[in-house]
Amino acid sequence: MKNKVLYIYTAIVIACTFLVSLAIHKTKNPTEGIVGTWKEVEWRYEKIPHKNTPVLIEENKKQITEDLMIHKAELWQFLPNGEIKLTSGKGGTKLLNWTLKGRGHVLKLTEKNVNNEHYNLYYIGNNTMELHFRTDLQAKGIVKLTFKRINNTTKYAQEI
Amino acid sequence: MLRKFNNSRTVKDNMQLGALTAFSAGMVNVVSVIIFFAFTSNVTGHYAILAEEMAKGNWNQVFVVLTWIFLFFIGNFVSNLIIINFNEKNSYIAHSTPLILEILCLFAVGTYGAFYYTETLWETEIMVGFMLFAMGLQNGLTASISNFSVKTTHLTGLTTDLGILASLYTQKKYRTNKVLIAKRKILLSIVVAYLLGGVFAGMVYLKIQFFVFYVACLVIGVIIGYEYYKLKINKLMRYKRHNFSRMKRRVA
Repeated sequence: MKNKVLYIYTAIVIACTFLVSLAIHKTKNPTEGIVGTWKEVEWRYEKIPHKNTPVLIEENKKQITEDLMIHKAELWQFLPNGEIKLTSGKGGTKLLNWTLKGRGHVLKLTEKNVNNEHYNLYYIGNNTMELHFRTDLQAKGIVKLTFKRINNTTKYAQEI
Repeated sequence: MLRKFNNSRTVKDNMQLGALTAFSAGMVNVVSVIIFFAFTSNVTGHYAILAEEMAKGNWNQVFVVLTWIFLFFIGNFVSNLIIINFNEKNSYIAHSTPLILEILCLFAVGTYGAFYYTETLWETEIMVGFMLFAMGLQNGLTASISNFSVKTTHLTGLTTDLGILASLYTQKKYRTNKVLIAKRKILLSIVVAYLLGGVFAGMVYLKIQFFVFYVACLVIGVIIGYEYYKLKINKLMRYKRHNFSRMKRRVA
């Protein structure tokens, strides 16, 4: 009887381990999904400061990101070696390091191993990505950044 | 603290065990949130996250969170399995083995984090898994040997009990009830210890980083060591008492 229970429990554990390993192996890891070039397409407030103006105007955006590493960034290029190249609208670039934390829901950006910032990776699909972060400046609450994946990075970089 | 089982435990036993294990759980939970952005001493949040990730269709994260919950479950399972199989042979060994396993897990996380961690996602997921397993072991042990009256890794049930207790205390007959007074002492000592552990870990982490896990190991080591010390003292006392009565008999 005792052996029978032991066999059943062992079988359950082995089956669960196999299923979870297979599922994790077959599904897309957020680390792989984020690699590529993403263009910012929209900034939104969680709490709307004025009625009917949910989208952040450029001036607000500049103020909010003034002290952040992502200031003026429009194009985010995630490289597989853990580096991220931020390109501004005027063509200036900044090289940082990126890593995912938690269950892949927190994006950590590090500058020269000194400063770091964290963004909530709320959603990542094949062509869309949504980052959230908190700000205390003017727009109280969470700011939502939406990105679209760019396939031809070089061509786009030349354009801007 | 560790040797006694179920109803033979005193309030003092439960308070000591509860406070020390809650202190280490508070430490582990706060540090895991700071470093890994994941809770490791409770799984209620993980169930909510599991549902959220299912709704979003992030199947990779669904299976990661499912594995974490499963590891917490396995921790509780292993802990109680050890207790029910070895309690009658040697209660001290049966009750301290889950804590030794917990120390091993936390020590592994601390050592790997301090010397090898490169901040990749899979490393984070595995280390969080280790910590959840360790917390499962601890929770299973404290709940099992205290007849389910001490649970130290999460405070949801405990806060519920405190709320109920506070409402009972509005009537005098309950305020003087010895069982309820004992319960209050245990619950408050766990809450305070958990909070202190969290604050302590948050402050110490800034100075010693991953070595904070060694401090958590040390706290758990104190529980094992204290019991061992008490066992030795008791044995020595028994031996002296026995010798003394034999001498008295001889003199008489």
